Amino acid sequence: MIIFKYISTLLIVLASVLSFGQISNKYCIYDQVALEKYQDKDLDAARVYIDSAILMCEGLRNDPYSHHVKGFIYYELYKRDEVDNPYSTLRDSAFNAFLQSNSLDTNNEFQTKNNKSLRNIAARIQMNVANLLDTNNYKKAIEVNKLYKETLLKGDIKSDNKAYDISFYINLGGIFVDLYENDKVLNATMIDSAIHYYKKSLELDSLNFVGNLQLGYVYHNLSIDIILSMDPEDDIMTMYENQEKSSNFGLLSLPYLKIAHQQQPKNTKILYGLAGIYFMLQEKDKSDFYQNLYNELTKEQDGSQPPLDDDK
Amino acid sequence: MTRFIQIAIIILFSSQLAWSQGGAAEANLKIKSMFVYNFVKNVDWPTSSKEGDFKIGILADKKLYQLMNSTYAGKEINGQKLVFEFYDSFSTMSKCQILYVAPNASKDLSKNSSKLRANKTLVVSDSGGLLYDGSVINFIINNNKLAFEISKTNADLVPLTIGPALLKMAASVI
Repeated sequence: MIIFKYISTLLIVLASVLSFGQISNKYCIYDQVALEKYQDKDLDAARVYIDSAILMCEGLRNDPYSHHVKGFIYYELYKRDEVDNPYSTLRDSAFNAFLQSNSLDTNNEFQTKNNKSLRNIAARIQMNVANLLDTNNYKKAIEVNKLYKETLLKGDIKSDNKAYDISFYINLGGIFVDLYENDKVLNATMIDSAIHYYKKSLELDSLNFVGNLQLGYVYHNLSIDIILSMDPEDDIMTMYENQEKSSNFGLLSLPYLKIAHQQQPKNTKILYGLAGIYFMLQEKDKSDFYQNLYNELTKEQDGSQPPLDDDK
Repeated sequence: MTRFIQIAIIILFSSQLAWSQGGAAEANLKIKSMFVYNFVKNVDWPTSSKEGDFKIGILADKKLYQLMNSTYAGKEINGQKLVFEFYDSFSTMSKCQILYVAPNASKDLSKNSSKLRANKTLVVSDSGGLLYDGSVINFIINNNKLAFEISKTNADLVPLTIGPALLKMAASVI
């Protein structure tokens, strides 16, 4: 509908201009008309006028201000019509217009505002990524995150993305864990992806609390799941092999859980995990140490249970 | 820009993991139960023990008894149906083909070893040094894993024939 309106308005504008036989002159004031329409919130008309102006008036084609105005018109259209569309063409047009304005802006008149708008557009893509971070849309989230990075490069947008990147990787890790937990057989490889993304978060910040805790969780749970999923009638050789795998995962979980524990020594969930994994690793003294810490911290909480209860 | 980062972080905290259900204690108990079950499958008893039900006694470990009873009771090995009995102490024990002795009950093992041997019972213990108190198989910890050691000498005294799979997988055989 919007396209038809756009085309019909464009035809009317062209027809009126042709009828006057003063093509270039008429077009060359259309940037001002576009600005008026923009200020009047008539964005569709503003779009037609600014496109016509840049297309048909050579002077405006190389004018940084025209592209600056075009950028704002398309940005508002994008916010109105396509803000939830990570592949918005309106957003791309706005972005390209601000870039074009910058490239023509030899007197540095519009660059500050253009750059601010470029950053805002990139932030909108970042929000698209955040909205897609769930088990149904994670593939698209990865794709749009790539688009976000490309957008930063294309716009030469200087931004500290470390916190965002860590959060993105940890969220993705969590999504892959959820997928794995939903069907551990069908989605067996998903846990490898979870580990991959948690490790990527720790490459950016090796002391990140959540990254360490989550990766510790994953290895801890894998260690236990291997044993709990064994067929009770497995032969002794298979048992040994699975115990070996379980033990290896348990050992892998320890450094991550310990980093998390160092940062939050009174976090009972971490103490629970450490007590559990040492118990799993048959290190009773260490398991008891963490279990006692856990018990001390939780003894005043009604209904809390120690993580391990190996009373005979 | 900061606002959008915050949105992503909020999502992060909504998708935190939980510790694996069941937990380490259950997993360790399962390993132990599977070991005992494999001992049944890989040991040969004298002919007199091959009649009727195959009785497995669990001394002083109620959870292991409950797990093994719920997992294996009624299964047949070499034509014998597995049955499980729980004992609080040696004094309540009846004749059985296998007796698992929990660590907290093992101090009385040596006193009962003659009786157990006479009953042709394979004693499985769970504490250091018990092969010298009459146990045939003893659980140990080896490289962060539950393992076992075998006293072939004690097995011969019953007499029991330990299968090659167990002898191969044992951490040590004396």
